[in-house]
Amino acid sequence: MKILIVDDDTTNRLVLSAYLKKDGYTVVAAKNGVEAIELFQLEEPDLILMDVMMPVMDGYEATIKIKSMTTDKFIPIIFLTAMTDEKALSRCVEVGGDDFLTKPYNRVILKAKIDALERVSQLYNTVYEQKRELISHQINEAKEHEVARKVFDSILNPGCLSSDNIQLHLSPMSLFNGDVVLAAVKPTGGLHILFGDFTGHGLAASLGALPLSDVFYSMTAKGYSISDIVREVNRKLKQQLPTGMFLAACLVEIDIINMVLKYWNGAIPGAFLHKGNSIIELKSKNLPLGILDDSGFSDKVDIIEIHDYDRVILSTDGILEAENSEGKMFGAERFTECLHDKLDSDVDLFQHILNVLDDFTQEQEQTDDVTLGVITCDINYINQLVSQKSAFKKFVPTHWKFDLYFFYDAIKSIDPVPLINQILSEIQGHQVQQDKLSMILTELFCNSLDHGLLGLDSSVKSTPEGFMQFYADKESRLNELDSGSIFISVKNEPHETGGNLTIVFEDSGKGFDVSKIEDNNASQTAIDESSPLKFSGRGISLIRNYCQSVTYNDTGNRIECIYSWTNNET
Amino acid sequence: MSIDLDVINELKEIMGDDFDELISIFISDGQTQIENLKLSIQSSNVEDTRRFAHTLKGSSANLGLNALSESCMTLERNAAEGLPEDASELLENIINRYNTAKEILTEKL
Repeated sequence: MKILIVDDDTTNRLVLSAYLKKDGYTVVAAKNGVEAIELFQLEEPDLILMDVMMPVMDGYEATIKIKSMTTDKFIPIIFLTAMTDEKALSRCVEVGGDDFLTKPYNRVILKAKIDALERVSQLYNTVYEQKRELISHQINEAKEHEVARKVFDSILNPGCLSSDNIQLHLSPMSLFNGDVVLAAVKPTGGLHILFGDFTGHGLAASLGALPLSDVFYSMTAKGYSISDIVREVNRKLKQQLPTGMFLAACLVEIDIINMVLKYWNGAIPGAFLHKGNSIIELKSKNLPLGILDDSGFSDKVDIIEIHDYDRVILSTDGILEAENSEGKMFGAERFTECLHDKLDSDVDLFQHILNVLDDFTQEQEQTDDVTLGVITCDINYINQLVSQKSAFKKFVPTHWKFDLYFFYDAIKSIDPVPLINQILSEIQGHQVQQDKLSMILTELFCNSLDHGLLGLDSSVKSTPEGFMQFYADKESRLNELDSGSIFISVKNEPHETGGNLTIVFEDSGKGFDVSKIEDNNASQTAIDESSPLKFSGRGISLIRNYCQSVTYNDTGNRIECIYSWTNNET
Repeated sequence: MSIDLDVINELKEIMGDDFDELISIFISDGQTQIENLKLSIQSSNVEDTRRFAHTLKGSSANLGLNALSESCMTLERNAAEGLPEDASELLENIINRYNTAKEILTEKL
């Protein structure tokens, strides 16, 4: 530690500097204020001992100048003075002195004062350093927030939120919003809307919106139903969100072909269908997303008939919990009441709800994200959205064929059905009705695996015990499987409105007596409850129902089906 | 205790060879201050009288020369509002005590 002594008296300087050197300090000395300022800049001392009365420039003036030069660092100044003149002492404090030392100097007191001020200056300098770091962090954070917000906005808004039939009020409490609203046009017509409210708000709450919007938009674009989407969203959020974080959400599909509204509601309190003279609550029947395991999750949707210009009203609990100056909440009752209000033709429902809410809360500050959406089921408009949307790739039925081989070890871990669906949608877009096709493929694969490779006997499934036994056997045999393969081939012959798919499944198993099943099926096209092939026969009859033709080879290890499809997108 | 020998001994111990320099500087500076005081009292310069007394008060205190320091303090204080009538006597007192201190300090060399 370096100390600057400022005193015009040589004796004093010598005595002080002797004391300080003895205690291990580095000492520099100046004879007056001017010299002190020069030495201060040159030597950068950590502490100054300053006499008051000096020629050229006194201690007060020197102190003012030095303190004004040290705004970013604390340099303690101790005045050397006789503790007799109160005016002089108060002047010392005024000009920025940090302590006094009276003459004659006492070594112990001198050391104690220096130590104390050294601690203060360390503290000050640490705080100053931290403050500087904090400021630079804040600047960085603000920049990062801005970038993140741009990323968020571009990720969350590829849908059709800006469509004319969607009125939206979003008022986030902070830069990021725990509320999420997504809307997208289905490739086959109609709208998907997701209204969500993550636990908490701010950045942490909005992070979950990334996987959510990803699943919502990509699955909607691929033609999945809201059941499939809500299941996948739940699975993904359960897997990716930390415990205690989840998403209250309401998914709505406006199906303009069948004129129905399908919805799945998990803990969104303010969801309604406004049908002009009646209002139906889209009740929550589920837990929020991201809580239940896939096996315990229900993707069941409710269906309500709709008419042109019916309106879907969605709001997050921020509206219901909005408080007025007396601490009263807006509440579900006021909310539904204002939906029932008879409106003049020039006021729309959306604006009316916001007006009522504003009147209620007045100037009260928001405590949660307040989000309100009103979606009008304007059939013509939604139709028009779909045709705009068709700017996306036009698929035409084409000639193609692909073959897949799965060997025993791959079979244990791969489900070929979604894989085939994926390939199909890459080639033909969403023209092929994948729900039926998926069922056919699943049955074909199960038959090849269960009977062909694993040699299981379906007839045991006719009793409940046998049913359980069948699946237990299946699992253990699949585990032990160490040879064999399944060959899958899918070929398309296009025609004007679609195509014929030739689907072949061939397994390396022993096959079966084909004549038996052919006979059986010749006499029964529907499922015969009394048949011993009650469970096992179902698959084949389903395939026969959906396919134009089903044929086995003589040895029974190869099945060929022809499935005719018509273009879904026209 | 007109002279605190502990202070002087401690300084001698701490400063080693520099102690001699300290003493000779004090003796010559002290002499200068006393000459200055004489002149300022003769010319009735209150401001200067107070300042020189103050300086000698400080440096003598630091060497444990308590009696000398007290005499300087009396002069400084009495000169707060005009030159005191007994200024010459007070100066006489300072000179005596300075000479005593000088003898003792010189012995320590």
